Amino acid sequence: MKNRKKQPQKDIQKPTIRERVADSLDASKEVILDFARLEFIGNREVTVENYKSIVEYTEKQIIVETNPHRIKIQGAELEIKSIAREILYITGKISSVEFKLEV
Amino acid sequence: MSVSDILGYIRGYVVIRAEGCFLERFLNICMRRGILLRNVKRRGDTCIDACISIQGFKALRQIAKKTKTRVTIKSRHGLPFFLYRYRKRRPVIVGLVLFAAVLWYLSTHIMGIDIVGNERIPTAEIERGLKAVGLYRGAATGKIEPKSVQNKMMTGFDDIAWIGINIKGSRAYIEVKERIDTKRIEGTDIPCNLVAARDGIIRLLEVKEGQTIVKINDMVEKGDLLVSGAVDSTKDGIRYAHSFGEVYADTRYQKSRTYPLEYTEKLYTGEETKRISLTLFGKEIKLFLNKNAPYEYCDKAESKTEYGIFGGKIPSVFVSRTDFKEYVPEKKTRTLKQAVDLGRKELEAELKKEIPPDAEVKDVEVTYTESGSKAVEVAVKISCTENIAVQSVIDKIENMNYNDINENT
Repeated sequence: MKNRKKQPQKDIQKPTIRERVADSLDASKEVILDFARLEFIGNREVTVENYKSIVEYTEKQIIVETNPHRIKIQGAELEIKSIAREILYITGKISSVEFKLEV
Repeated sequence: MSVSDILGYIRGYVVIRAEGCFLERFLNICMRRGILLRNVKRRGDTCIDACISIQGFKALRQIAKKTKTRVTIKSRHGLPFFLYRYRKRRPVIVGLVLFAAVLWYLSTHIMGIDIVGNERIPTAEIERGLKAVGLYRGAATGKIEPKSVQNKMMTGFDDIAWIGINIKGSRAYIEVKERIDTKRIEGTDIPCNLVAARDGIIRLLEVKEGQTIVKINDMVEKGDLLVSGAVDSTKDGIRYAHSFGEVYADTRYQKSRTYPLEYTEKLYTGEETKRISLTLFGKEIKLFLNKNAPYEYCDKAESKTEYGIFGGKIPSVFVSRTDFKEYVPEKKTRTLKQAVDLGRKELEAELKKEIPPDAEVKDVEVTYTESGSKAVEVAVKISCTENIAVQSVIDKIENMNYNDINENT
């Protein structure tokens, strides 16, 4: 209960039990929460770890299905440099990233 | 070029073009089946290009059928395709095998031996000793045990106090520490004897420390004990002393040589030719055409230069140069007196080099005997007086024996 008071509640959602466990254990959240992990290098490269599938792939827009969001990456000259089971490596000129909760 | 690029090249990859309406689905299935796709590029609405491994490509057929995608190969890259293209060229395969064999041989066998630290023992002798215990050019590095070579060398050479053997790659580094020279005893507290450096007759004894063994007018041979470092006295028993002092003796240096009265002299014409040949891994390649000597009468002088590949790591390339100097032989005669004079001059000069500079020359004697009518044998004898005492450390074993003898008596 102490932890909860200290933590600033930015999200509208209530933190789940998993999230609280992750917080208290100081462990990396993407592992315990099974979230996707995105790593940008400027706007040139992005690696998406722990994704589910690709929904759309064009030069201007790539939509990736993850848990629990659907991530929309927009830009120009987008290219999938490598596609493996866990890691998606995208290069190009990224202009925006959007997270959408699945309906 | 990164490591993954090199690995990709060795394994080989195919650039494919996939055409169809459900390309995202195609990609997802590939991903789920663990087929790695690289450099996926959009080429319009219904078309993508991608790189895929050979094994991946084989597994692609089923997926293509399922997603109604048409897959075509755009280009092939990598070693497997290269080898496939050249599979019928036997020399290429032979060359590759040979390359691997040579590489294996050069990296697992001793290609050079570096010996450092020896001052008195000739390098060639150490090399011979090393060869006898299994360390030589061409020996497999895996079979050499530095420890055993070290032990064998140390027992085999009396003069080696310590020997270090380092095998680095295909080169052996030998570090030799020789036993301390008898002349180099510096500390005044080290027990030592005085021994004779040369044969001679003792004339004067100036012993400052140690027990004198020899008397004046004694004949001594090289290596004989002159002054003992083990001083025996009735009061204190045996005491070890650092013997020093001077022992002057009459010594004799002599040399003889036969001089023919008829001889040929070389008159150099000034004509010279040089020939260069290359030695690659023990095989000589001559860089000239004429195999015969260029002149009827000539002097040959050979010089060899070693060129190591990779910073001297593989000492297998030699460039040897042979210089030929032409001369015209001319028959000459000399009188008996001329021959004797020449002999005296030559032999005296040679002997002077042997005589230590502090020796006092007392007499020079020249004798000659005619051998037949065409030659004369000239002998030169030089008598000197010099200090023949040389310090030598008392050996531990010797000194133990000495103790034993004294205890028994």
